[in-house]
Amino acid sequence: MDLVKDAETATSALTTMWTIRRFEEAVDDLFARGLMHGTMHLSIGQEAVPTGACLALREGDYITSTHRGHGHCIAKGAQLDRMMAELLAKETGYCRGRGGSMHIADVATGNLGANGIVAGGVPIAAGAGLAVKMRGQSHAVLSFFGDGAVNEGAWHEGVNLAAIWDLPVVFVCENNKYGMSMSVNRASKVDNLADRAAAYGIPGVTVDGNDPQEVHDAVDEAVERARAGNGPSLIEAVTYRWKGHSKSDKNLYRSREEIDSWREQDPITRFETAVLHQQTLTESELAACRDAARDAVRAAIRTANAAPDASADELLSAVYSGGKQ
Amino acid sequence: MREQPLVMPKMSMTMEEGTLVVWHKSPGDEIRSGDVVCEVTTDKVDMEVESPLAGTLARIVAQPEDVVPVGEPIAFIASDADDLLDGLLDGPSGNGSAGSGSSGDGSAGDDPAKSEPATASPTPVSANDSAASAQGSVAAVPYARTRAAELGVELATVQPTGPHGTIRVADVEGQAGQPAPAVQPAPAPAPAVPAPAAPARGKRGPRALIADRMSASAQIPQFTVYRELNLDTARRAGASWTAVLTHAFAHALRAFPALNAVWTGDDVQRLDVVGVALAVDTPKGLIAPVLRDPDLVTLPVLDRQLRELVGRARDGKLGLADLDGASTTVSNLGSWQVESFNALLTPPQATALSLGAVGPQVVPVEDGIGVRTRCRVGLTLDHRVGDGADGARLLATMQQLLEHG
Repeated sequence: MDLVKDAETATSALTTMWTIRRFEEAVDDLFARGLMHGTMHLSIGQEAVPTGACLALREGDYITSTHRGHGHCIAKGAQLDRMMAELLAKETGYCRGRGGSMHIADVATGNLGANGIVAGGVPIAAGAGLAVKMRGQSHAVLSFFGDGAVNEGAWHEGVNLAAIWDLPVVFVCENNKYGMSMSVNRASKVDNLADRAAAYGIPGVTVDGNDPQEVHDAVDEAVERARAGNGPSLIEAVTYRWKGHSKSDKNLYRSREEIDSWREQDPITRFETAVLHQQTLTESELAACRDAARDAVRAAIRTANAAPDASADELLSAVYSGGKQ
Repeated sequence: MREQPLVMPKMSMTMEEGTLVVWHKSPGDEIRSGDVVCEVTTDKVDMEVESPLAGTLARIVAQPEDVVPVGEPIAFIASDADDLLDGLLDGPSGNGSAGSGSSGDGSAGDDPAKSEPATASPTPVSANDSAASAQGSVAAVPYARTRAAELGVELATVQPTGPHGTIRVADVEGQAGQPAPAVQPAPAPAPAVPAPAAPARGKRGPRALIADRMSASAQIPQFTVYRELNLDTARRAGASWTAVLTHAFAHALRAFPALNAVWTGDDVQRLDVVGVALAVDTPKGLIAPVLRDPDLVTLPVLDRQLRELVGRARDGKLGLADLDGASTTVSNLGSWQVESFNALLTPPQATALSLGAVGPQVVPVEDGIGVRTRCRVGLTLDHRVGDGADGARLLATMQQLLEHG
């Protein structure tokens, strides 16, 4: 699939990236104004990875997400108003306002959930892959995680199981350079995290995570391999998060200059330039994508804000099965 | 081009207001999205504020040292960028207690027709309390609600003592034990002249923060035990005396877990981590970053960590995580030749240790008079957490550790 030359695909990819960006900017603003509680993790700057990756999926495929999961949700087709309602602690949210940013799941679209545990989605993805295989289906499972996850025991166990059982899983590492404040260069001895694949006997490839086409091509190939019963793959998409790890990050572990240099490599600007250069879309069509994303996010905020607040009165219904209210 | 508010951002889960420290941009300056425009101090540390949009800084409404509630404007930026939230949050559904954000001072784009409830009456209560008459919206722990129902106590009449005005079980039971709930003692015949408006905004320097903490400390039943520690045989390995004594103190705290604790308001809570805050004298005032488990590293490593932490404190480079989780604070005035002093507790910490000057002292020894290297330390204890003998035992253990490593 050519994201840059095919007008329909380019429109879709660009609108998805802008929607992720605008959604997170709105969330950032809501938090800054004290209107959103708890904390959340923003993926601004990383939009090309979920966008390129999820374009390789089709109905029935699964994803597992991370604590930084708004982009994965949106790219997999979640409803913005239900996401926003979850973040605003509204009854209409994906988890009835009880989970917040880090627990959005949408089984209807195959999204098995964000996860507050680093590498927590990896064994879940292996499990989903096992289910697909046992049912004799041809679905693929895409597991997103960060560079911090690859040194977790759960990551090793999940990837190894998927490898030895040839499960249809694609492991996508969003290497955004830091696990909280720990530089990936200090946390790992290998040059590319994709090199880890060799230890499990599966293919591993490193791609430019700010280029949705590169991400898409690598994921597409891996998904086809998975559907064909040839087992999992590891894809490392190198990208960067512009914002702090969470809401109380002073950025003491990196420099302003480094952040600015990555802002210059904005995946959205790069993609827009490429699409214009190929004359796939016009300036006004680009603007239409931007406007569509903005309007969708604003509509989601309006709908979510008008919804009833989540109530603590019957919280126990989420704790006991069929128990007292 | 429209003016859009730059608000005092919430930068940690507990932040409710911030103090403006310094502006890095001036009115008229071009700003890119992501540029650092100013610094604010939260309840704990200074944080940089990034502009959420590109444009021109139109006007500044908060000056350095102004205290501004989260969500209130600190400046306005003239920008062509979309304001994603413009007009979306003014509706009646609102967000309850957290709200009040965009209704600030007639920010651009506000719909005048919707502004009636904003400034209805200048009641001296905080916004949180004003709407809290219904039973459901009174903040109370669940068991307190249950007890209130059992005892027939109306929650709204209970005086809360928990954090953020939350009603605790003891509050309900205390109320039930009283003869009649009666009406709350009217807060003095309501002054005819309305109280000075906007009590939240004002000048609050670093002294105000210390004043809050230490005034709270003065309410704690605390005492100090003093002891001369003999340091002749203490292993130093080139480390500073502060490191040597902190190392021994942390070891002793681990040996007395009952004192490695905080007072939660109604009980002792022991901590798994030995968190030792170090009082550091910085150009911007006293700050106390925390060493975690300093007894679990070797003395030279602790010495290096300590220097690094003090350096970052003086440079204003502490993160929020550097300031959490202490059960005690160590202060050292020895370098000014202070012999001994009484350190006040930093609530909710259970102990504080003061270090006097380390030096040779003439002391009686077995067969006459000798010279020993000694230091007079004072261990302050929250009497609710421990007694005098507990403090004495901890200091005796410190002495043993210093003698025998």
